[in-house]
Amino acid sequence: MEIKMSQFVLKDRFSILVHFPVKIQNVITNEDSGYVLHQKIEKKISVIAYLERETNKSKEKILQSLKLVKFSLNRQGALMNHLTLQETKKVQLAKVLLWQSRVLICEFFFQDLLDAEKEYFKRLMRNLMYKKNIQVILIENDMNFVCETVKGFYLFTKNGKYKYIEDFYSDEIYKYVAMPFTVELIKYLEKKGHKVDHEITFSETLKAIYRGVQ
Amino acid sequence: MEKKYCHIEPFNLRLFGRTILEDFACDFDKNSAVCLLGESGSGKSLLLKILFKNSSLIQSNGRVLFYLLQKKDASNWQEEIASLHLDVTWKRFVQKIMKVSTHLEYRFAFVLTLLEKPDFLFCEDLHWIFSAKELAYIFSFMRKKKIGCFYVTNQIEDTVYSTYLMIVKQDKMAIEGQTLLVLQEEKYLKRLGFSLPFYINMSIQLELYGLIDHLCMSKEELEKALWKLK
Repeated sequence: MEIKMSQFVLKDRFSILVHFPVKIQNVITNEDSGYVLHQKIEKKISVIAYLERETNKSKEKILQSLKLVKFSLNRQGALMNHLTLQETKKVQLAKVLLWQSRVLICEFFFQDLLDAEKEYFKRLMRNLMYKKNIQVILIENDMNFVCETVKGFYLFTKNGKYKYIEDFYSDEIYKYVAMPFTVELIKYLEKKGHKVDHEITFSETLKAIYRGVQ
Repeated sequence: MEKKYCHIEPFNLRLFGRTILEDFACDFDKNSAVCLLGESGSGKSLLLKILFKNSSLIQSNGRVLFYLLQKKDASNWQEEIASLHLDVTWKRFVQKIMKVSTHLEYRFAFVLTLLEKPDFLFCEDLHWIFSAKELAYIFSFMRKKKIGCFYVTNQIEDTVYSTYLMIVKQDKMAIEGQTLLVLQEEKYLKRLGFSLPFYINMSIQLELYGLIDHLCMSKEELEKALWKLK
């Protein structure tokens, strides 16, 4: 199945692809597209040597980039094949930043991050969008993350078909991915006969419940 | 009847010259679910693999089994299960777990591990295979069947199924204790990089608004607390 990623580029907004039907493979990061894939890199060379070889940038620039992606600098000498998946993804992101690719495509980058790191990388990617004009495409299935990040997303259904969804309360979404807590809670309260506004973020849901109880 | 216990001897975990976890030890019984929470790369999974390979590190008078995300061919799972002549509760459990077609081979391997009826199960990252709803069901089933559990995860949401919570950060045990007490250390957890599980966080905020007066772990509890239903 071939899917052209360029069709999902949204100006000044994260494009999030949910229930993406394929695992991205055999792609090369370059000035057009930078990939951060959900896979380990089985190379027996150090992180610095790997980035030097892939980007032809100075060690100083490489260290700056690694710092920006919160890669622990005391691990810079570690071999690529000894890194955890999360560390590998940070190195891949550092590579994309060094390439200054115009489109950044991340596969499940946020999946195993700590919540504090999630917020940091959302800020970093927003900065890349606004200051460097880089378009960001995220492939994620965690609807809790999607709810807190965007107002709409691309949902892939069957046979590679997709649609742009803004109604997070549409039951169709949850045939494919797990329901976020906010939607689950409000739907449950409605089922129990309580009237609560449909919200998707934590803070708005909290306010909606407050209004509902009052 | 002798009470079943499980004790992990204190040990240091090192990899490629780097200390991953220092002086780790743990004690629990059949009525407990211990959760070890840590960020990716904190050595949780490695800890589990080392315990699996070095049985001398675990002292127990019960049957200890591991589920380390193994797979098992599930093409004939119904026939294989039928041949085991399970009682109604186990049958219901298996049907419920196997009715979802995603990650079927992992599901089947997990079910077969539980069907060996361990006293203690060591497992990791079940959120990768099962939905939150299924996990709640699995942990409640294990509690009913008195299967003690040592569960390793990087998902704060998974901690609500445990009775005892340990959180590792940069090769140290950052905090440990009864799960509900640890989860009330909101500021400290934030410093460690974790936010609270959704329902705990929601109930703390609603408590501040004066709408409820205790922590809730689920939507059902929250609804009852909010509308004061008995």
